[in-house]
Amino acid sequence: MPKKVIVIGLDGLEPGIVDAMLSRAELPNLAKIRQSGAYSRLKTTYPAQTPVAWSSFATGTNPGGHGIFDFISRDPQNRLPDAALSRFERPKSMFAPPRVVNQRQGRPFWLSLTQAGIPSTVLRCPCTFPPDELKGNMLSGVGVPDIRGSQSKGTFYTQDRAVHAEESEQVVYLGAGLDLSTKVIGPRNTAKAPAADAVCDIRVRADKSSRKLTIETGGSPAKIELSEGQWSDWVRFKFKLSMLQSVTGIARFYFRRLDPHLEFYVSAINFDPGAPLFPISAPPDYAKTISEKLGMFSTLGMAEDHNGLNNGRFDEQAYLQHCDLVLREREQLMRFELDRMKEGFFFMLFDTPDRLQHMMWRFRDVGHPMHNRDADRDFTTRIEQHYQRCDALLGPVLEHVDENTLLIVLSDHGFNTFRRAFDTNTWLHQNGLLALQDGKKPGVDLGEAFAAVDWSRTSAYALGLGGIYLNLKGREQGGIVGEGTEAERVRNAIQSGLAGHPDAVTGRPAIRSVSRREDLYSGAYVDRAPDLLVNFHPGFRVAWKTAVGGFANDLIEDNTRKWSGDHIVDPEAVPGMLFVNRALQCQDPSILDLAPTVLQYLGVPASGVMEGKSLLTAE
Amino acid sequence: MKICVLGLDGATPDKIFQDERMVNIRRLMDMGVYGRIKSGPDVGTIPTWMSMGASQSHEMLDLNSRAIWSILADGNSRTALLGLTADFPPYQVNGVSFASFPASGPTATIPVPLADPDPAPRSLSEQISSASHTRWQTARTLYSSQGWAYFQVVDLGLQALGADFSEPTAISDYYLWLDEQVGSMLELLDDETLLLVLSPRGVEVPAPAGAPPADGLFVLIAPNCPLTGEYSGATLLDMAPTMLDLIGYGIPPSMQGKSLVAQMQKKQSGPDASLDEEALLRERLAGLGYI
Repeated sequence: MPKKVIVIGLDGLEPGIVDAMLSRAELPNLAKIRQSGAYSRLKTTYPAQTPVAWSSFATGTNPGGHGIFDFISRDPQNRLPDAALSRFERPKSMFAPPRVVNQRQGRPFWLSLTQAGIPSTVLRCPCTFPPDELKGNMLSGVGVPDIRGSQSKGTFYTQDRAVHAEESEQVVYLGAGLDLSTKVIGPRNTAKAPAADAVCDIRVRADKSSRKLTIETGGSPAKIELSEGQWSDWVRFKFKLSMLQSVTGIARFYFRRLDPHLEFYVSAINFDPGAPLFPISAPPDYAKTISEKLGMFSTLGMAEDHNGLNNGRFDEQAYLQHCDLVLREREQLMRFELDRMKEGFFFMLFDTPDRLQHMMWRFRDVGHPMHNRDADRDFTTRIEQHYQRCDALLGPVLEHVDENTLLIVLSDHGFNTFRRAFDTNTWLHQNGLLALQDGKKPGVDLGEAFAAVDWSRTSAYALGLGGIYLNLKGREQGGIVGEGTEAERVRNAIQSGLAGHPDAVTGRPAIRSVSRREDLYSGAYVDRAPDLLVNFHPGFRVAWKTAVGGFANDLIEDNTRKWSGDHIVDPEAVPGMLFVNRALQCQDPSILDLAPTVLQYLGVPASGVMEGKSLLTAE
Repeated sequence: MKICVLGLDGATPDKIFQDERMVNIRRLMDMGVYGRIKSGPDVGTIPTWMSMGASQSHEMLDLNSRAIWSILADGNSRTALLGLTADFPPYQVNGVSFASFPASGPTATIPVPLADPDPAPRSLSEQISSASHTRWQTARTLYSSQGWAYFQVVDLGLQALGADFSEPTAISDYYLWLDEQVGSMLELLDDETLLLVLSPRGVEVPAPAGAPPADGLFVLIAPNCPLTGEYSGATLLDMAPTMLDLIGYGIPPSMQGKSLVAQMQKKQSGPDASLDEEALLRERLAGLGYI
């Protein structure tokens, strides 16, 4: 019998919650796997971030071996924050089309399987955009943008002129009446001068008596009808870029309400799996084939629409419905592929538990500033309910497991509350390491991207979700800190100043420690890493605007967003979890160990650069 | 400026200009000028391309006249012609030249070592497909190998499929495949290139008995070309004079065609309107959630 390895990723499942639920016998399928093999905490990466950890899963190396250190990176020449997972290459000439390049380096283990002639199906793994050329099938995951190039940008339609666009959204004002024409906003057409949005005309009719909204979409299907509080199926739109070129994308509508104003929402426009703007699957027509067999599906990396909830465009119930739609698509695809799997490697990542915990944690944390605020019902145990849903996903998986199948279920990191936000850039300013122009004071009014920073007097700056970079001579444009003693002095000052930094309001320390990159990383891509990494205590995280080169109004302030749970704290505090249907030979497994484990089980030697060790005893 | 000519012999404007799936060619159409080429009598593939190069009608075709590829191959400049010039044995140029499909074997090219070994006998459709694959692969390798003043590759798969293998889906698939081949060549071109995608005459499938060839088509892109959009009334003989005009060469009196850009002010090539880098980066991070 050919051997099989099935790996199911449940992003962000917190072992503390899993332990409690196992003890109450609320996770029967995970309990079965534990009984047949092992259950353990799983050491995650520094930092404990999804793209970083899953890249280490794929390559078996620390982040220095694959070059993904954060969601956000910067170019030392301009210090502007950028998405770190992929890079758009400007065309080499007027003839060449734009290209996108995966920034994850290293060699994922499915390429070793490919070399050995063993097929793989890898679905929704972060940092696989554009996809790897493997034997088998791949569908890209976190890192795939929407059709505008954003991580997720929806559009809110309202008759209320008092509404203004919040984070990452577009607001379209509707005229008066109940029979209206408006537009769905598609890709930014930068080929035009000046750049303009490509749009599709739609017509909406609301009916007061039935309380239904009918939308003539101009796309496919041509007409949909929605009740209040309902999401639509996918609608495919065709956006004309010119007389000759067009691009298609897919979106869902959500009908919020008729009163006091007509309001509805259009999700971020996803790449059309049948004709994506950039490759999202390998082979390239795999995404199209599965959409023809199973129906349309979300292609966006961060598919669950957290922005709509954060911005108050729909409520928790609508968000949970949306999460469920995404989860069902993934479940359907997983079952389809497992049904036809004969041998080799299968991987599917379910992102939904991560996204759901980010938004719903405040209901289970009575000490959170947003605990139960604005909620019209009790969601206290909603996260636990979702864990049970995740456990139920494993039922059909277990049906495909026989004595020749290695089954692994893991989370890449755990979860915790996010009550207080720490602005590292303000701290650097207060400690004379970051200077502002014209005597300005830190605050959100200074904008993003270090607009007000005086680089000629700045030694260090914070960017990304915990990173600090020195303003190093010869590396940063106009850097002032010399390598050697001077850099050492700055590093020491930051490490000793931040470690144990107290939060005067709560009386708790906000930061456990600050790590140096040379102590965390090794490998060919260490030079991409921040010089220092802040390890926050659970409950604290880097402030929102610090991540993109901005400032908060206070050094430490309450997190008043619905995004209330997080995992970007000291990685020791948020390990992932690991279930395997085999005994483990190691008591302290790490996410770096999974690649050599899969390779060993399938009889393929691990590459020399892999740092992890197989968790299985030699057969 | 150098010239690259991608010949899609047999392609029809009805197919190329109407099918949105041909994304590479449609992008080129958006960038430059395109139009139909009124077909003439069917005089065969090689005389048709010789007419294009020399800008002479087939009745007037004088093989002693200098074709555009010879004009550009003066001195140290070299020309590469793949798949078409005069018939076997290959046309003599300062550069390399492949004889027309389906000639193959060690004597079918100048210089000799560029030819592939003769493949094992297969069905005609397989031979067509294999020959075309080889041709485009060779074109890519050759184009990258050195700077060419004039580079021309002519694909004859549509002619062959239309004449001997009239299965519509095979032809439809072949068009899409051709678009991919055009796309793969675009990756290799630099901004100092004049690109012409050219079909001198189309092949209809099934071809009405006794009917003349269908119209051909052209798509022309050059950094200084003042024309954009659809152009009516271009002829095959206009192609060489237009290209010579755009790269700043004189048009020999032996050429019968006219430059489509004669007397027109050439565009000054300059940088595109620069995008707001910061706005672009902000857009890429929008919706991340963590920020």
